[in-house]
Amino acid sequence: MEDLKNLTNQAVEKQPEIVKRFNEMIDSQHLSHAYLLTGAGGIGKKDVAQWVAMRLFCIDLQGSMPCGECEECTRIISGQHPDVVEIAPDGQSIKVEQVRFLKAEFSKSGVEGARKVFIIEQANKMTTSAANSLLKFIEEPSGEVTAFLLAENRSLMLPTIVSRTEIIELKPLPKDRLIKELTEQNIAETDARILTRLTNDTSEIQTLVDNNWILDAHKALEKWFITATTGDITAFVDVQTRVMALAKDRFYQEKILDLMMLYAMDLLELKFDQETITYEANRRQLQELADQTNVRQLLAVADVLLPLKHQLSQNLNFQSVVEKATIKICNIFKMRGR
Amino acid sequence: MSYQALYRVWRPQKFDDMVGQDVVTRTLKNALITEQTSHAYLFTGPRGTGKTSAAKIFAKAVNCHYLKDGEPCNECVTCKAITEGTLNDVIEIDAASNNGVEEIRDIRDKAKYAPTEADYKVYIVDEVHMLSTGAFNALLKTLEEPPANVIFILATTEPQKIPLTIISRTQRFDFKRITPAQSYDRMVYILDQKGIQYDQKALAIIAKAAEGGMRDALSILDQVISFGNEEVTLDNALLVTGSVNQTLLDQYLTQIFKQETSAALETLHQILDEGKDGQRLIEDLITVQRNLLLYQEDPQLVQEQSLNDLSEAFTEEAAMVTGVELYQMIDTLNSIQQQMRFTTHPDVYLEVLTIKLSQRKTAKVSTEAPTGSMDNQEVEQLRSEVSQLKQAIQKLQQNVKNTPSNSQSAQPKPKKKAIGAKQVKTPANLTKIYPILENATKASLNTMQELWRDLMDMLSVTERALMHVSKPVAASKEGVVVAFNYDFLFEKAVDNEVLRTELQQNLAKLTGSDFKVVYVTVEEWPEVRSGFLNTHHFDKNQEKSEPEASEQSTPKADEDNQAVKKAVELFGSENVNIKND
Repeated sequence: MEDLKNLTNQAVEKQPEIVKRFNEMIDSQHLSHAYLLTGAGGIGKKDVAQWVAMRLFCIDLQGSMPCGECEECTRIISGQHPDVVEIAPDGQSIKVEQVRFLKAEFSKSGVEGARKVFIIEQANKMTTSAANSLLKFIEEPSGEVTAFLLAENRSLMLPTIVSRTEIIELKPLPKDRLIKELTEQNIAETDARILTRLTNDTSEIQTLVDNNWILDAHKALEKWFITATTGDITAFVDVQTRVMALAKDRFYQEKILDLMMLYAMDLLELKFDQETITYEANRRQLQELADQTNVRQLLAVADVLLPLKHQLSQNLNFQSVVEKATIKICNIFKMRGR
Repeated sequence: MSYQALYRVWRPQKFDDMVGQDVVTRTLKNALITEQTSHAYLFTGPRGTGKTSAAKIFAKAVNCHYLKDGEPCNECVTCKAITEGTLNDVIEIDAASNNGVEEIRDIRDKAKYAPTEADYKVYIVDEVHMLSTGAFNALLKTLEEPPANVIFILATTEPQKIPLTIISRTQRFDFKRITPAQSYDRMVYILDQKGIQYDQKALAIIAKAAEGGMRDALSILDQVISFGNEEVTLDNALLVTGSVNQTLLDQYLTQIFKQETSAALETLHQILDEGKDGQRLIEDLITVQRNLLLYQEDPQLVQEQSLNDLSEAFTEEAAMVTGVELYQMIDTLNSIQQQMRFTTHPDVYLEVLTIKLSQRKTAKVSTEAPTGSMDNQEVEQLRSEVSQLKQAIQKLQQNVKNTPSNSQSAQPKPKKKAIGAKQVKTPANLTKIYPILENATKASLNTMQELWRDLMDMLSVTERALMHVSKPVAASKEGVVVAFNYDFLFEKAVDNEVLRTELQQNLAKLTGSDFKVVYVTVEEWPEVRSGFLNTHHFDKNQEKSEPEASEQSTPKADEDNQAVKKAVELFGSENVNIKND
């Protein structure tokens, strides 16, 4: 429980401007009934939502900051407050039943006070019917209700829901801070840089670092990428022998696709003399590759790699997706040869 | 009572308050005045265009006894009760939550009873597209001939999901998107009523970001107001909508039009670091490009349409690109926008986008205009074949000339070899290099580097092995200087006349013009360059541009060379990569 205090600070630390905005809104009684918080994972969406809830309920406000220690705050953080309801995807999506439960919950007045807060995590994962049945409710909720919808990508939300909310975009976290934090945990800086390109979420980073996954992935993909970009079809074999072992589940598969993408991006960045690249450790090798290729080829590679994630999300088989991409990339680099 | 969102407070209470739906409101009003109201209506249209509001106003109007020109009075008991939602005879149903047959049966049963207080029983079925098929069909008969004094109003954003049998039983009204100008006026009205200061440009930005939804506009406005302490400023509007500030956007576009890829990438990073939404950025870009297209056709129209006056940068940009290019760019933007919907890492997509946009001309050379690219490819192929044939003829002619003295033509080769063998190092052929250097440009070097990989692919395996460690270091329109990492390979290449002709032929194939190929070693190259600069007495300007022509050596080549040599000695030349800083 020692990280309770920590949590209140996290919101402030990650999104000071947004917290300040909410503070002003609460002070001037301008808090609207529905907010849509968007931003990449780990950026602090839930922290902000919980912070606002604590700010509203805390009985021992420290200036304009919730104390994080009183019973109200403690219960909010541990998810036990009767007037702060959180729902998260049950499996792949948020189901209608969950929204119905939410609505039922909110047709009653607050258990302990008039105010109620609800937080919907990953709101973009609501099923169509769930989203639709939320519509009327979110338009004109009765009583003092504040809704927080959290979503990574706004464009995946139903437009009719979006138009009923106030949209707040969270700023990406400063990369340097995160990198510094990671290097303090004995992660090499070059690896830290790659990790921060993959995700902002510290818990996700931890899973990636566990069992040296990121190191193995880095090595395997480096070999794969360089083989593929020299037009050598043995890269196809690498997919089976090296890459597949790393792709344990959907989470890792997505990260692998991201890593591949980042290689292609690095080449493009180097081609156009950009300072920062992701794979700093391989700079020399990549520079050489970039010199040997032309922009048209690199763009073609990007065109092959960009849609992969979408294909994966349509339940295509990971291995065949990557293998197909490999063949395509090889072809790009030996097209003119024959 | 807690704070209420603007769109709830300012929900229109009579037809005249409604924005941008003149046709709908006039028809409804006339129907009310002439008492020709139907028993079932279907309101369709995008979000935030006033469907539910219209339904509520209509419910009031049919029940109001003090109707004035088709408008409800909003003062009588019934009107007030309906506004507060307390009248039992006006029933608002959320079809998304009550989408089963059971709920519809319930409606059907209750519709039989006469209204209790008001004249008409009005069922407002919102989000009606979510009804199940069974529910729709259960509704059919009731909808066709409901009991007297019952009116159904169905509202939906997705009319294509409604069965045709339902649509044919109703009077359908299509609500239009609200134009930026209309929502702008409405916002001005609301702000004036509330006595809040505002910046006109800020309202214009909000109006655009709302994309035709009045509720969107008011939601954003609400946020801007609360953010800026009861004042609407441009900065806050930009921040809240996630729009990119106009100067930055102009800068980005200008860089793209000028094809300064690196600079454009930097601007992009700047934009992303501010936490701007990628989707919004693309939308903004599309809007600007659309305006540019229109502007090229009809400047007057754009002036009138855009609420803020056009910036100077805009007119400059319009002169920079052609319509065809704009079409291509919009296509690219569209496809990236589609792909981006499914990602949580928009930055990668935007970087690729930036490069694609700024590379459009080079791409055009290879594929020409998108239409008839097949023809163009053929033409190109034919062209290269013709030039190949020309070269072949030239060579044949030369051969014919040389036939009598065939031995002579063979002689120079061994001579060269002899020279090469005598000296430990074959000196670079300065007489050939200098003319190339004189005309060397960064652009030709870039194209040469682009082609290099292709060129290598065209060689045979042994030749490729020989050339593997070579790089073009300087190029002009007529020639290219190739640097070798190893002396040994350099010697071999110099002697290999077949390789040279092959290279030159292939280059001609790739570029369509003749190129001379000259070799140097990497070690020698800086000396050659500085020697060239000294002998040709380049003034400062050219000297500055000259280093750009080669990426491989530094301007202070002489001093650095020592260090480089030492490094090569220590680490071997394959591990030493000489770079410009």
